[in-house]
Amino acid sequence: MRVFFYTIAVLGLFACNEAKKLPILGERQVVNREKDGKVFTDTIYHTIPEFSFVNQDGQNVSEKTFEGKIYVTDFFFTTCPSICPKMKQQMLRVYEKYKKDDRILLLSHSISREDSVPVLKSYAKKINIETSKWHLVTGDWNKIEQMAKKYFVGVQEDPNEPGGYLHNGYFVLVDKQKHIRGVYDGTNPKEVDKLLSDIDILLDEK
Amino acid sequence: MLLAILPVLFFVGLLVGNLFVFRVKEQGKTLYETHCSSCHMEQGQGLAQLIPPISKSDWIANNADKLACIIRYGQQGAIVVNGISYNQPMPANPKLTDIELHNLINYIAQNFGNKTPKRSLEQVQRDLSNCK
Repeated sequence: MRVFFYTIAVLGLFACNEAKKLPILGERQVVNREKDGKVFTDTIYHTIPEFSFVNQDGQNVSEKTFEGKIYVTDFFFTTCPSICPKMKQQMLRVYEKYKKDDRILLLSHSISREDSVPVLKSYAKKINIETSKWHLVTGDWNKIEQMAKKYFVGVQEDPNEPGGYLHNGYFVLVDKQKHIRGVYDGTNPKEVDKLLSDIDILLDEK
Repeated sequence: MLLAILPVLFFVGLLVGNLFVFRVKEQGKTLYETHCSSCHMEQGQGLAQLIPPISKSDWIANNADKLACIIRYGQQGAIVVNGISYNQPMPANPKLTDIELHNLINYIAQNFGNKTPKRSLEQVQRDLSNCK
């Protein structure tokens, strides 16, 4: 009888963990690998590559900055009149919730060529954020555009758009292995609610 | 005969008047949601110290005659709202007509906790001719 209860309990736990696991997004590749003379198949997931940008304090920010951390990232620019203020309002919710949790960081890429380090610094000051928690970065435009693609965010220059750039307002959740675990509409408070609960699930993941 | 028609005319007039009043209010709201709310937010609260609030704004109460110009041509430089200084460029909205500006300004002036007197279309057009 006792064994029966244990089995149920273990199964229950297992089911919970199963249900709570976030998916790994993006294309995957199955490859054959060899270890100790044995060939086995392995799955390679979509992974965020190396990068190097500069933040609002003029510090270099690269994939190493996020080593062993979960992070949420987006693409914006300081003079964006369309969706960015809403995105920042929502990202501030994420910031406030995890301000004291050093397992998680935030990364916002500027897609405007006008957003220099001092411009980003002044923006950061106005929304009252700590650099060590939330990096606002700038860098070579083409490299930022390439990174956007890796995060599944569309970015393009368009003189007909207000502000001169067109982009998606997605928040992208990246795990410690640099895999994308969720993409959320950063202008929609309900989707950001989902992001906040997904972050908690991801933080519990072993 | 004429006396019999009068009450009918009265109610038709009331209906048309109502439709007009509510349509105007609705246009101001729609315009706000389309052109303003992504920065100034749904409740007009603005964003931190980046984008000034339009709700309970002393600036709006004191500068109602400048609203049309700012909305049409944008705004640059520092602006103090409810004691806080903001310095973030506001983009121009050159496509809004005089009438749309009129409806939008009156929607803002009478909502979001603002109690600024409405401006007539003529006043708004006069404001526009004085833009710097």
